[in-house]
Amino acid sequence: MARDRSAYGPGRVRIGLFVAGLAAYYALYAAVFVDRMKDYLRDVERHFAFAFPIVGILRRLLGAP
Amino acid sequence: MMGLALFPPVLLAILSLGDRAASALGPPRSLTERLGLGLAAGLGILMVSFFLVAAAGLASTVSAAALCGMFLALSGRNVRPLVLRLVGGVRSLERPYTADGWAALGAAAFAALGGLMALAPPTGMDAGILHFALPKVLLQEGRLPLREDMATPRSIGFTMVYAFGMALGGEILAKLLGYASGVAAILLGAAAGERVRPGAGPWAALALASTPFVSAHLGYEYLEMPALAFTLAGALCLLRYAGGEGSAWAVAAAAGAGFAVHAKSSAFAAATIVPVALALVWRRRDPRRWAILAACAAAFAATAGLWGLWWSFVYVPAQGGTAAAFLRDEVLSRPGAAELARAALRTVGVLATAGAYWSESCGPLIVSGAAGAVLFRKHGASIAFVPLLVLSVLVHIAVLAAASPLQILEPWFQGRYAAPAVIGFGAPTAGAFIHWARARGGLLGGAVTVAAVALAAPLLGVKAARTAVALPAAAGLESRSAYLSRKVESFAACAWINGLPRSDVRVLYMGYRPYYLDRPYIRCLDGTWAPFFRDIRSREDFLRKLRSERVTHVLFERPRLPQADWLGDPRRFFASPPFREVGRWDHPGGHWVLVSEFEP
Repeated sequence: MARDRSAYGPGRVRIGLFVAGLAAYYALYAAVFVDRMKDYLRDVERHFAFAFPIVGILRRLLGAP
Repeated sequence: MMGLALFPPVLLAILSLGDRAASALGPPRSLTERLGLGLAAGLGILMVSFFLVAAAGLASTVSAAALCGMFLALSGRNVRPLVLRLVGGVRSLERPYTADGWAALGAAAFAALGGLMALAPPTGMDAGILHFALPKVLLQEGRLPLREDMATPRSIGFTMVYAFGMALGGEILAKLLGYASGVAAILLGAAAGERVRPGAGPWAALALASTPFVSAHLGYEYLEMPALAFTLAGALCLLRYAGGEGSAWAVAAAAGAGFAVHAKSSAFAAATIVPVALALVWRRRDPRRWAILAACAAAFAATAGLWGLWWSFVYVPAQGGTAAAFLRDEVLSRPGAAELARAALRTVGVLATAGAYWSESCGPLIVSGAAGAVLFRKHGASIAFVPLLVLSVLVHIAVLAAASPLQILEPWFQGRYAAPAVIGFGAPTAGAFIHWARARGGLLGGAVTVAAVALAAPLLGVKAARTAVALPAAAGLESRSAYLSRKVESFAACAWINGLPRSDVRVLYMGYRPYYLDRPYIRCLDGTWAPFFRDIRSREDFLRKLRSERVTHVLFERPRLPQADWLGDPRRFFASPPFREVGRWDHPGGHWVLVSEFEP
């Protein structure tokens, strides 16, 4: 007779693999996102640097030249 | 101010009719579902109705007001109970002292910031080129422009709702109606999530609103939010049919997919709903099976197919050709297998991480939520929409790969055009997975909660910063012209031309955003690449055509693409007789715009 596995819950290995994959994926995503955001902030700074100096500060914090 | 003042009554008319249509299919489970389906149905009916009005050459403020009146006449009795239900729903809102409550509040914060952005004048690049430029010309001419310089077929769809809003209350009302479709998407995401797993609605709403794609476009005047809202409406209807409700829901699912394709034809991956709906109808073995299948096909054709009919039988013949000849001219050499594989991988990469812009991505939560649902399906996680999500991405890639020799489809081979389908099918699943994982607790619940917050928090910050930039103009503290002069490079040049005392001004607009120009113009997107230059081989040809077209001024904006050789240095070309440079605007970053008077 087949057991209802949902009653027992997922094992630690499965959960560990998922969480590790999730962390790696988020790290990759964050790297790409920050890269694109630098471009975006450069564009924003072009228009608003004088009014919003915080944009320039953010860019420096993100490591933009 | 007029746009803002007109928004509540116009929205109520749209919502009331949509609610009446949706409620006729069956009772909604919640106020969220009722509002989401009502808004989507109302906006879909409005989009198709005003398209027919515009195609008939009757687009005007009078016809828009008449249409609004007709909506109210058809659903007048529904207004009072709907308003009372809304008030009751607001009064019964509980304070969000639970994690689910905070998730709902997070989604509401995205929506609120988008609403403020919607109150600022339009600045979007594509809006200035197409989505707002077309309605403006449409209302000036009273009919859908058949000029080849307007690229009407590319921007038709939800622009009809923008045209309706512009006709009644100007650009802000148009923006607010677009924003309403974004709110509908969030509500529908919550309702679909709730149907997948009771209690998951707030997390589905947060997963949807915190995608870079949605957070960037909410309150922005593009076509992405409407395409997403209609996709979600179709998905929700499909879920109700799959849950055992009447066959009308299968027909409504096909109509929702049709509205999505009509709203933005490049969002054709949403049409994946239709074959799935047909398969479900086939499997149910209803004695009226063939009639239901035919009704589904007819509902899709009546919503999505209208665009194709107009393009084939009105627009292309007006250009002096036939649809078949047009497509034949568009055929390029077929790309190789390696090139197609790279394009397919790029599509998946853009959806999962980011494209050329951060705003093109579906974000990591949708993908990891769907992956988690599959991984833990045997332990109770629901994979409700995962097959549809995977199928829609495959359909998107397969259709474009098959049609890739057609030059016209080339720009669609990017991930973001599949985003309405990926987010529409993915957000309810991701929300249900988060809710399931949190219920289990432990490392999994904690990690998933952190993943949701780690995406939503920075994007909420970005949304708040963007709203802060728009807020002075939205609140009326900064004038429209001051705001647009800073945001749009060609605005000051357009304003200068608009202010000319001459009545015979006719502009050759060799730039990007002609929306801000009030005078008659011929649009040449990105300079000499435009159709206007098709038969021009030399300076003399160009001058001859300017004379025959009675052009008085040329606006030239620093181009992105290389220009025709005979143009040489545009700044010198348009400063030498018979041109006289009358204005020049330099912007930071080396961008410039010039205006020259043409003296034939």
